Formats: sequence, structure tokens, C-alpha cells
Amino acid sequence: MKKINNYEYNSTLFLLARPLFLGFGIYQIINQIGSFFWISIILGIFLGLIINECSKFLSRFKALKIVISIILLVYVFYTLTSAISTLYLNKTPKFIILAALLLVVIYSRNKNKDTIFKIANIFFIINITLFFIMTFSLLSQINYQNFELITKFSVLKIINSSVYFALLSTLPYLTLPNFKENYNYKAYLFSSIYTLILFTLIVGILGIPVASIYKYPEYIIFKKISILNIFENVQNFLFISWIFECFILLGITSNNLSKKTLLILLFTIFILYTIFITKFNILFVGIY
Amino acid sequence: MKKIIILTIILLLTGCYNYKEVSDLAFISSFSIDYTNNNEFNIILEIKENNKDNLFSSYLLEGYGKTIEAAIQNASLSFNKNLYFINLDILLISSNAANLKLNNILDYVTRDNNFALDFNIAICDDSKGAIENILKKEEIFGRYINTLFKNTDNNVINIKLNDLLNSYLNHYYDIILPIINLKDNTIIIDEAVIFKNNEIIEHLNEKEISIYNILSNNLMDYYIHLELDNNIVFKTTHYNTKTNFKNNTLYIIPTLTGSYIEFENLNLNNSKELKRITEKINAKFNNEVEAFIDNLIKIESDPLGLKRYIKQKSLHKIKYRISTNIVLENKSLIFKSIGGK
Amino acid sequence: MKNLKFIQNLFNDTPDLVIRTLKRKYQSIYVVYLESVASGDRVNSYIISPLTLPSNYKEKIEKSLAGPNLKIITIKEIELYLCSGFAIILDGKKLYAIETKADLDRGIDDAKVEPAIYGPKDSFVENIQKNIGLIKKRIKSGHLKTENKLLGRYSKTVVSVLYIDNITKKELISEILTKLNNIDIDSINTSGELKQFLSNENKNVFPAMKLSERPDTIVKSLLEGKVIILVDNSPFAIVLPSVLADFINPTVDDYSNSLNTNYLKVLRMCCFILTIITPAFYIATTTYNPEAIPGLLLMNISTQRFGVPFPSIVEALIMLFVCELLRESDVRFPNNYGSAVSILGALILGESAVASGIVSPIMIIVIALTFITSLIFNEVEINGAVRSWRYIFLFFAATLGLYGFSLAIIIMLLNLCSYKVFKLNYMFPISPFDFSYLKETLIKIKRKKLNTRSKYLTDNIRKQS
Repeated sequence: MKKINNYEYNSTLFLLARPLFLGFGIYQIINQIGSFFWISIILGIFLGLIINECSKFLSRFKALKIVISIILLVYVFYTLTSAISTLYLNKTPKFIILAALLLVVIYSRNKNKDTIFKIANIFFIINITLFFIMTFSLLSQINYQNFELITKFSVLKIINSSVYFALLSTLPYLTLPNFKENYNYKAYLFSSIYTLILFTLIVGILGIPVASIYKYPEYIIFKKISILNIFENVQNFLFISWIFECFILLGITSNNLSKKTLLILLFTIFILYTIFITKFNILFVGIY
Repeated sequence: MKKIIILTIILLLTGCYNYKEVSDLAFISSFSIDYTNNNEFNIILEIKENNKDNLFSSYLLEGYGKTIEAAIQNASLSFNKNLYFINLDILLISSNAANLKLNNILDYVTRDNNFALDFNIAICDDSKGAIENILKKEEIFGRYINTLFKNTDNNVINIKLNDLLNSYLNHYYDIILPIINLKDNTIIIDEAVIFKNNEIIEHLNEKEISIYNILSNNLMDYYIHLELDNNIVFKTTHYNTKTNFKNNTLYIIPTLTGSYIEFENLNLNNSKELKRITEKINAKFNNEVEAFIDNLIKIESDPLGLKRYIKQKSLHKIKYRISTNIVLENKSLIFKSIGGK
Repeated sequence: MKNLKFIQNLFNDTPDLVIRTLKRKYQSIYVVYLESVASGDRVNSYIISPLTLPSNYKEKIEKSLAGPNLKIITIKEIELYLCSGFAIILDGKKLYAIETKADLDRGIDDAKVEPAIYGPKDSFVENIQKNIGLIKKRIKSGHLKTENKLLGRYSKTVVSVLYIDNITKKELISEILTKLNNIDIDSINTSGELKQFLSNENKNVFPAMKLSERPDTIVKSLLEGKVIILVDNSPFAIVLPSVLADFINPTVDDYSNSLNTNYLKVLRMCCFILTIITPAFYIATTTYNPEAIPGLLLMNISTQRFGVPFPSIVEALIMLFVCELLRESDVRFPNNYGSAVSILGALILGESAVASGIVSPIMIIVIALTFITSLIFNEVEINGAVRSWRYIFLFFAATLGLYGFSLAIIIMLLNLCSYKVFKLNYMFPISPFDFSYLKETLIKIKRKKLNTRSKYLTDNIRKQS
């Protein structure tokens, strides 16, 4: 809290604009306005910049910070365990995956509050290298015919999805400490351009009809990477960058709660999760 | 702090659910699905075996059941290893299954995370015979067919799962798949099928497959044979097709870049002669393309996706015009033709 | 006389106590020294010869004594000075002490633990004055200050704290001195023992201070703003505070071309990462994600693992245990018996283990890679720290696959980034990001451009040209 470097803060700003897109974000946007995602995302970036200016003002209210922290914490735990259970560990019961993640979050809460920012610095470097590996191996597989305009043009849907994009990328900023002094718009801009490149790759490689049926299209395009005909199926290694980003969000939101409330909250999440998974199974299958 | 350590140690000792021993995995190379008249799925799996001398051999498993999953369970009943689909090379579907159960098959293959994404798909009515034919030569069927499809000297239709799904889910396209036939004890892939509303309606022969490849910009080699007084062969190395829709007509403009590779008794210094030959080749190619597109209009099927230009629901009664460009480049080692003056 | 009786009582059973009586004027002067620590020649030439000259008969003692170091002491300090090699002169009620130490240490020798090809080859010895001399020979400035302390009730070891007073931060020096003042123990024999008092070991396995025996390393650290502690009878000096980047890169990098050394620095960073993650990565990929391995290699691995009864993690633990045994026995066993032991090790790890079906050949390659990359570090503490983390990574990867591997990365980074050594973060040049220290340790640029010191270590940033 006392001495957070400029680099560290910018790295967290960069990394926080993305974790909420895991699972539900990309799927929704492609399904709503398939071919016109460019317009929608650029509008979303502008909206996001405006929302960031507003959240500079809103960051004074501590109650709002705590409420949003709790909501984001629960949401990210849920999406991350679902993603890992589908993609990495099929047969492991979900509560074991959740328990491992809970323990790591508790361990990180026991450290100083500025440790997360230092870790974000290192994760930034790792994510950028993985990003470059991914883009340069996938550029050759883009099929230009996939960019043709297939879906209908509808202004309402475009505005809808740009608002959705802006909200998903700027909500985590409300939980940051000292947002007003250290906010730098360039970090947000770079992060959104990264997401834009990701969308371009998804639509260019898979095509709109195929990309709109997959739950995790950002994982499916990694399956197509083939470097020198030897390194294939490296999707599991490259997906770790998403796990790191989600962890940064979990760490920062847990910093806003005191240790006792965090323990109680995580304990209730764990118990409710195990109960609800067994009882209300059908409800959850529909969403995930 | 100590509590966290104790909890993590207990957590780590809870057992590994996803642990797979490498020696317990059976790598599946080809997967063939047939739908018999008894409303049952009949599947054949080809499993790669690893011997100590680095020789490759494989063996087959058969099974049947009401659903694909039941058939796979039936096939692996007496088998002692876990089936592992992630290095799948080819998926064979019989025509009956393609007509009736294509939705089911594609759903099964796309839903599971442990399926590969880059395997070829083909139609084969006698998969067991075809696979056993290759097994006699001591090669693995999946790998053999994979390299066969990658060879650009043959004009084949190389469709992987992603392309098939793209055409299948897109309402502007009709899907097209290659056929693997067994003729005189050898495997030949020289035909293709076109679908309309997910039913097979027409077979294409070799010539039409090559024209399809040119019109959809798949990079395969192509040659035209012209028979005048002499035999002349023109081979393309590079082609590009552009399509426009203006004034209610569809303009298709293929550009073929290539060179003459086989002459017989011809004088190359006569430029008028060369011009005449080029125009004849142009005309011949135009005729072939027109015949192909007329055929497509007649059967009302559209594997090329021309509907996305005309914005109609069918190809019925459209006007089209084809204008070919042939670009000659000289890549030969000799100036004169042997036998010419 | 009273003083003499006091000394005789104190050193009652010591046969090497020598008392020489000299007669002067009307009283006798007693010269007392311990034969084992004082040099008889020097006693003779500094004390006895001048005092027995007839021309010095009537002179005062202080004027006639030779010898560079003459002190007037009290009764309480007799024990300290006698045991340090001084000779004590009892003149009535006055007590004088003259330094007549014997040379009980070896001469300046080659550096054995940290060798260098093109650097200077002298290293510290067990005498603190010689060590301070080797440092002062290289920094000829009055700003280099020393503070001496005596630690240990029975050993009364001399401990010197060296620093350059216009570069080092004042809070750091005062903190170290207060910590040294609070030590109350029987004896301190080496700098390794002193290290444990100054650092808070329970928090982290990684070492907080570096031990070095090369004067050029010490001089370079002094000029960056660090503090050096020298302990008598110990050839290693403590450098505080030390961060992770100091352990990975030796000082000798300064002596060669920057392009070549940059390649070697990158190699060492990769070795540090590889030595921790290799067994865990191998187990996570072959057992949870075998699709990532190319096809032919996978077939080979599966044929190799066919005859082995243990699961991969048990194999890995067995091989790690055997390799640790080999390394430990290599250190302890005397050199003359050495060859048979290494042959035995090679036989165990070689064909026999594979042929008898205990381990598979590829596991031997993986563990060999792990150990060869860990030989890059010559600091024993780093090897111990890396070993603990290797086991943690192994358990996480074996139970939860690649997800566990990423959790272990997160845990290790949390541990390293929150570790503070005298208010300096352990992952120092990377986070918090400091370009000037990065230029000196992790990447190397041309000599002319090294203009500034790092602002986290010191307030005096500009290096005067």
C-alpha cells in the first residue's frame, strides 16, 4: 500500500481488464453481433475510458468497493473452477479444485497488501511472451473468407454488446486502491487492444458459425497451434495466462476484506458450492 | 499459517483422479462409423500398437450399439487399455450414416474436450476392407491417408473438422466430402459427394473436383490437356478466383498462373502459334467451368458458397459469366522444344 | 605483585604461560606472555632487548620500549590481551601491553569456493587484519569506515562492520549495529553462525546474506551501498543485504565482453528456473496431458515405462534421493578415497538401475538435467532452498496436473515477492523494477554507460567520473 511502483500499478491495470471475459464474455459478444465485432469493441473501448473517469469519482465510497469485491470474488471462483474442470481435470470433483484455489487465496491474504502488485509485474512479462508466441504461430492460419459479413446489422445489438464489453473490462477497476492518483489510461488501452486482437484471431480462424457454438473459443484456437510440426496440442500451457489473470483479480478483491470476513466468506462459498452442486444440478447445467 | 500447511497437505493426498499412465493408453488413429438398417451404429477403431523395434502396426476393434457411446463401450469390452482419441487422424462415415445421423456424429465429436481438432473426414462405405488393405502393407491407415490428403499433386478435397463445421453451420454453404473407394485392391480417392439439406445428392468426378478446388482457392496442382495435332499440357502452379455480383450477373474470374510443361514437335518461336494455343486452352477451361456450374444449378446445391454474393436463397435462374485469365511464366530449362523447328 | 598473583591464579594450569623477570633500578619488571599465541622473537626484539640495554637502564619504560602497538590497560583487560597474543609488562601498578602476535594463519591463497579465470586470485584468510588490508588496498579512500565489536563471552571474537559512509544508508548501518549489540552467546566461530543471528530464518528458505571470499566482490558491493561484516578466524565475509540476483550472477562477469556475458546470464536464469520445475513439468505432462508430447516420443516413453512397477512420482522421488546421497557423500568423503565412490555412483545411475527395472531411462535424463543445472550455483544455501521448492512443485504437479503446477508457481512467487531483507525486496531488480541495478546484475551493458547507482540501495546516485 505504501510504496507501489508505477510499473506495478500499470501491470495490474493491464491484467485486470481481462479475467471477466473467461467463459461467458466472448461467447455472448460473438453470439449477439458476430461479424460486426470491430465496431462494437471500439465503441466499447471509448465507453470504457469514460466509465474509468467516472469510477475515479466512485472509488471514494468504501461500501461500494466491498460489495463489488464480494460479487466479483464469488463470480470468478465459480467461472474459474468450471473452466478448469472442463478443460484440465475432467474427473476430479469440483470442490477439490475449488479448495486448492481457496487455500492459495488465503495464503496470499496473509502477506502484505503490496505483494500482489509485485506479482502482477512478473505475470505481465509472462503474459506478454505467451501472447507473442500465440499470435505469431496463429497468424498463418487466418482465413480471410471468415471475415465476410454474415450476420445482420442491428444498431441496438451493437450498442448492447459494446456496453457489455465496457462493463466487463472496467468493473474490476472499482476494487483497486488509490485508483484516482495512479490511473493511467494507456494501460487500459493496451489491454483492450489485446482483447481486440484475440477476437480477431478467434473470428478469423474459426469463423463465426463455429465460434458461436463453443463455450471457450479462446481455448479452442490454441488447439490449432502447430510449431515446426512438432509442438502441437500446447493449449494447456498457453491457457495458464488466464489462470494468472483470474488470480490477480482474486488477490486484489480479497485485499479489500479483512482476514476474518474473508475466511467466513470463503468457507460459506465452499459449503454452498458443494451443497448446490449436488442438489440443483439441472439449474447449473443450463448455464455451465 | 500452520493450519494452511496442514490443509494443503491433506488436500494433496486426496488422490489423483485424472492420472493417466502412458502405457495404459491406446492411441486411436482412425474411427469409422456406419449406421445399419437395424438402426444400430457399427463402429470400427484402429489402434496403434508400439513394438519395441519401432515398427508400427495396428489392430482393429469392432462394436455395435444404439448410440455411438454404446458402440464404443461394446468395442472396448474385452480391451485392457483406455481409449485415447486425441491423436485421431481420420474419421470415416458411411453414406447411410451421413444421410441420417450427421447431426449426431458431429455433436459427439465436437462436444468432448479430449477429441482432436485437426483430423480429416471422408465418406467410405467399406471401411473395414479399406483399412485391412492398408494393414497388409504394414502401415497405419490413419497416417497413410493423412499423408495422402496432404499431397498436393493429387486433386483431393482436404476437409478437416473445422472446415466441415463452418460449412455445415453456415446457411450459405452446402457441404462436400471426399469418398474413399476400394478399386482392384487399392485405395483411390477420386470422387466426392455434394450434399443438399444434409442429404447426398451427387457424386463428382476427378475433373469436377479439380474445378471445385480452383474456384474455391484450395492450393492444389492442376493441369489441362489440349489435343490438337500435338499433345500440349499446361500446368498451373498458382491460381486465384474472384467473384463479383454486378448488374444481376455473377462474374467469376479465375486467374491461372502456370507454364507449358509438355510439348510435342512444336516451334516455340512462333508467337502466333503460342497465342492460338493459349486461347484454345482458355476456351476449353471456360467450357468446363460452365458445365460444372450448370450442373450445380440443376441440382440446386451450392458447395462453393455462391449464395453469399447473390443474397438469394437458391441458385435458381441466375445469370453468370466466366472470364479466365491465363498468365504464362517460363520456368523451363530449355529454349527450344525437342522436335520443333 | 598483586597483579602478578592475579595472573598466576587465572592461568593456573597453563603450562605455556611465561613470566620473565627483569631488574631495573629498585624494582623488578615482569614480562608475561603466552607462548602459544605470542611470538618469542618479537617479545625479545620489542621488549627484552631494549630493556636490558645498559643505556636504557634509567630511562622510562615507554620511551625505551620498541614495538608498534603499545597500550596502557587495566586489570580486567589482562585476559583478553594475553589470549590475543600481546605481551604484558607489569611495572608496579602500571600495566602495559605490546602486540607480539605469532603468525598462526596460512598465507593468502587461491580462492577455492569461487574460482575465476580472469579475475584476481587472492582470497580472504583467517586473520581479520589481513582481510581488512586486502579491502583497503582496493579502496583508497577515507570514507571507508570500520566499526569493531567483540562478540561471544568466551571467544571474544572481533567482528568488523565496514561501509562507505557517503554511499550507504544510515538506517541500515544503525539497524545492523543494534542487532549486533543484542547478541549474547558463548562463542561465535565463523561468519556462518553470525549470519543466522542477523536474519530471520523462520520466514523463508532462501538466504538473505551472501558469503564471499573474494575481495573484488566485496569491493564492488561496498561501492553499491552494501555493508560488509568480517569475522575473525573466518575466511568468509558477509554481504548485506543480498537479493536473488546476486546469487545467480557472480562478479566475474564484469571482466569480459558484454555480449558474451549476456548470453551466459540468460543461461543462468534459465538454469535457475529449470532446476526447480523440470521434474514437476515432466510428470504433469506425461501423466495429465500426454497429448502435448510429439507422437514418436510418446510411443518411446510408453515402451520404456512398460516394465517399471512404480508410478512416475515414486520413481522421481527415488532418483532425487539417490542423487542427494551422491552429492552429500562427495562433499564429506576425503579426496583420497574419491574415485571408487564416483564409479559406484555411475554404476547405480547407469545401466543397472534401468536394467533391473526400477526406473525408466527417461527419468534418469530428467533428474540428471535437474542436477546439472543446479551445479551452476556454488552457494550451499541456494541449493537447499531450491531443493525444498522442487519437492513442493513435484507434489502439486503430481496430484493436480498443470493446474497444480500453475498454483505452485503462484505460491512460490508470493513467497519470494513478500520476502524483505533489511527493507529491500528479495526480487529486487525485477519487482520493484529498477533499471540501474538491472543493468549491473541481470543484463550487462557497456562500461561507459554505468553512471548511476540504484536508488533503492543508496541516496548518492551519481557515480563521480
